[in-house]
Amino acid sequence: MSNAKLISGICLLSFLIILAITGPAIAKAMFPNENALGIGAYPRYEPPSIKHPIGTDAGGVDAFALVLNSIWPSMVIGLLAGVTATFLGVIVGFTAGYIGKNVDTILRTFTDMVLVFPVLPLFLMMGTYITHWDLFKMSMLLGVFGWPFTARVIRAQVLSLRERPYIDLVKLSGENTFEIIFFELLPGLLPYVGFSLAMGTVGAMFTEAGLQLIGLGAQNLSTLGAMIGHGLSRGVIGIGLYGQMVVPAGILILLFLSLNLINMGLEEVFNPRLRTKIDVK
Amino acid sequence: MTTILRVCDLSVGLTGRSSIIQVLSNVNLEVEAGEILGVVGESGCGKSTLVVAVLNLLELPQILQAGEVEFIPANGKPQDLLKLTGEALRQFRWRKMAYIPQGSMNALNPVLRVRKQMIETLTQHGMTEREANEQVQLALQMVHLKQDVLDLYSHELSGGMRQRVIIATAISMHPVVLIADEPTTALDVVTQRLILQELARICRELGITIILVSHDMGVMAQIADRLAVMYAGRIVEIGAINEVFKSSLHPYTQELIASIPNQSGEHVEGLAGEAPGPWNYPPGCRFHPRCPSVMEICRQQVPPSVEQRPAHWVSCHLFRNEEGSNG
Amino acid sequence: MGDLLAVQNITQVFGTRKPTFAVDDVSFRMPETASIVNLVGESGSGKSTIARIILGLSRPKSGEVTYKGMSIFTRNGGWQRQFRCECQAVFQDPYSAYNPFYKIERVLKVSIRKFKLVNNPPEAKARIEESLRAVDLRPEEILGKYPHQLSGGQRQRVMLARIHLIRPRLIIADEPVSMVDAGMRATVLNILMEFQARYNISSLFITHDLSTARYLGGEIIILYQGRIVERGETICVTSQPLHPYAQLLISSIPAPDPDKRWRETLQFAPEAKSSQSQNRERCLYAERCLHVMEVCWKERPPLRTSPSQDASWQVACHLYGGNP
Repeated sequence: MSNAKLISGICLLSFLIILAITGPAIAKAMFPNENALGIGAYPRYEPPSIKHPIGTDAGGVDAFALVLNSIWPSMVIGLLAGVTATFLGVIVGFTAGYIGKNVDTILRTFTDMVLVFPVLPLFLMMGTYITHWDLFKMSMLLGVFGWPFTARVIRAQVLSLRERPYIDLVKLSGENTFEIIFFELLPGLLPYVGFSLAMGTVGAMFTEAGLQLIGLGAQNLSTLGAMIGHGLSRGVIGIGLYGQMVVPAGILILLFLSLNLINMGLEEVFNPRLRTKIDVK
Repeated sequence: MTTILRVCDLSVGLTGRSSIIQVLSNVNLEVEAGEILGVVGESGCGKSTLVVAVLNLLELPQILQAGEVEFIPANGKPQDLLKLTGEALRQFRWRKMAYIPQGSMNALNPVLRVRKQMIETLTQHGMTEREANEQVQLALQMVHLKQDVLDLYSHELSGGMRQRVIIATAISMHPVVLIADEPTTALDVVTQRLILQELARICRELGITIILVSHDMGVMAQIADRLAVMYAGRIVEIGAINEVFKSSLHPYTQELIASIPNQSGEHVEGLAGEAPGPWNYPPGCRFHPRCPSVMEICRQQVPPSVEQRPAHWVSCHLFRNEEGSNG
Repeated sequence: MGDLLAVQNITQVFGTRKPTFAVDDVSFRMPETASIVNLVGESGSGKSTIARIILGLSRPKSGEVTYKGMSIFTRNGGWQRQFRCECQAVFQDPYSAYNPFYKIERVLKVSIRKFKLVNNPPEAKARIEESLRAVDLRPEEILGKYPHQLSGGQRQRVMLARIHLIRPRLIIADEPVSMVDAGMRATVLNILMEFQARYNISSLFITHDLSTARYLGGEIIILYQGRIVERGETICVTSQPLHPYAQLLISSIPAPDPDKRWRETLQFAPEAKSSQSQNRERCLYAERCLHVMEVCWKERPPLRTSPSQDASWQVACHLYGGNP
């Protein structure tokens, strides 16, 4: 597989995963014998320096150490939510598209209902009941509202693929429904599943960031979103601490970029017609 | 007969990973005013590329490598189409030369009524809205469509009616030349006959020169005046329709005509092998691997184009000038 | 003697609000001995719908289709497998007939596997190569390639190789040469005719192209808006068509001969709208017919034996009434 997009995407993602996992350890190594994450460890709003590469935040915590410790939670939330959303979306979308008729109508209505569900008031309500969030709870909640997009995309693609002559041909060869679904239709859906995963993962991360921004997020979780949210509400840009916004946002963007590159690369590998350069045979 | 369009030495290539692949090579063509010129060839022979190149519509990865396309109006000086750009090109394209691409009857905008689409096309090419309205009504009459078609959406029309709308739009600016690429391919045989008869009538009554591109020899035999046969990016034979059919010179033309399942149901044989694509054009004459009369020279040299009979040109080593090379 | 295939009074209707009669009371038979039947009509005539019904891909609204005496919708696993093995198809579009994610030989391998044609992999490979050669393809040029890497002619011949592999009794070929190059058409048609002669395979050949129907011979059935208007031996019907629509169709074939140009200019008839919501108890061709009479608007013409003494030649037209 010599596809440039695929390889660069995988490399970038691997790098980010390693960074996420080793983040806390790196942070500890930068500040030996100190608890860089403790509230009031350092003076607040320190400007960037060699000791504090992007300064300290409102709580006197070293922002860089905070970033290093926030990558993993963000990724976990994003990935779990993305996988949940994609999984639910594929099941709903596929069933609606393949079976059609009444089942399709019911599922489509249901999908639309979830799509327009007011998520913010729900989170507001949840906020009064759940005082202690954990990664899992947050991911599930985000995932459960993220699947309609995938469902629609998958349904549309299934409807289209179902009518292709090659499906008729394998029916004439005696393939049963199970074989048709897994061996004929699924390969055509993989690019869309991949895309949904990328969108769902990053969507969840950004949604979480948005919730943090308006104070509805999980106060006890440290995520990249939380940093961006706090940074915005406390106006760190105004006091020249750009890094505290740019670095976490940048990492989110890199994550999205890597997932998208992998997705585009996979699509080119799987769908030979998309290859842009002329293959001389 | 006056020449209205002259294609000189046109060559088009495709940019590949590391090199350029030849698609069209040294195509020479002269189109006479008021005729119906057929360009026939199997899929992949480059006939659509030729049309796109002549209209200066090439897009990457296709690139123009060499050649000129001269438009010679009755009163005015010749212009090289390939040198026109921007606004001048746009004005030229619909007013002097109109183009009906392959499958265009399926490219009508499904959310616009026919009237709006036709008028939009005309106003985009410089007509005022009032002029456009008038021309559109006249054009519909020309193709025997009722005026109430204007208020319909494209999906409410049959395939034949859509194609007539496309033709009407194309002729409403009174072009000098109309290029139609496979205009009847998706239509059934009766509608095909109607459309072809319309095109022939448009040519006779409005004096519009028509270049008809198709893979169907039957269609050519019915309405073309002259026929150019293309194979693997080159024109291998060109002449009057009767001559090309009844006394074809090039082995490819002969074999092609012989392989058509005919009226009497006698057994025919298809051509051996398959036409090469641009990535594996053989050296010398591109037909040589399949040619029943192949000679050693065919494998090495491209045959020059020779006027074997008056106004009947062929590109084959079987026919050479007595003096030797370059015809 | 039993028939291989018997289609009896099938009707297919689409849509609920404005029902479209895609197929309207069509019946025909194909005998046990290998034969060719050409099903000819314009788009919208119902020919592809009939093909799908016969292949068991969709159920007719009414009517029956039997294969060797048993209904093709019989719910018996064993019989269905046998039916599938003996009744196969060749599709029009040589590209979309293949799943683009897999190599082209997969359709052959799946067929071998599902129909248990051979017992072991080496024999499977041998059979695949043999079938490819039988359609004039070189295995080394075909195996291992993806569909988009082959030409339309090669892909269509791999479809035929699949037929050669399975050896069905009946092929439903839906426009098998319409998307194939002119030079290759004769080759594909010759292969189909050879299959008939050598392996005793019958073909139901669906097309809008009368010249290919003529080339194949056999019997012809001409459809118009879901109804049969004329049927008989191809040579006879195409030389002297009786039904006005058949006459129009046959005279409109573009003969590849500049000396045989169309003599008359066709007039544009009032566009034949699908008169589905209107009266169907009439001849559907009445609005375009040059010989239309009063009765044509009132009664649907039944299929009757033609004035020629040939019992197999039938036409549904009031011009030839009186022969019950």
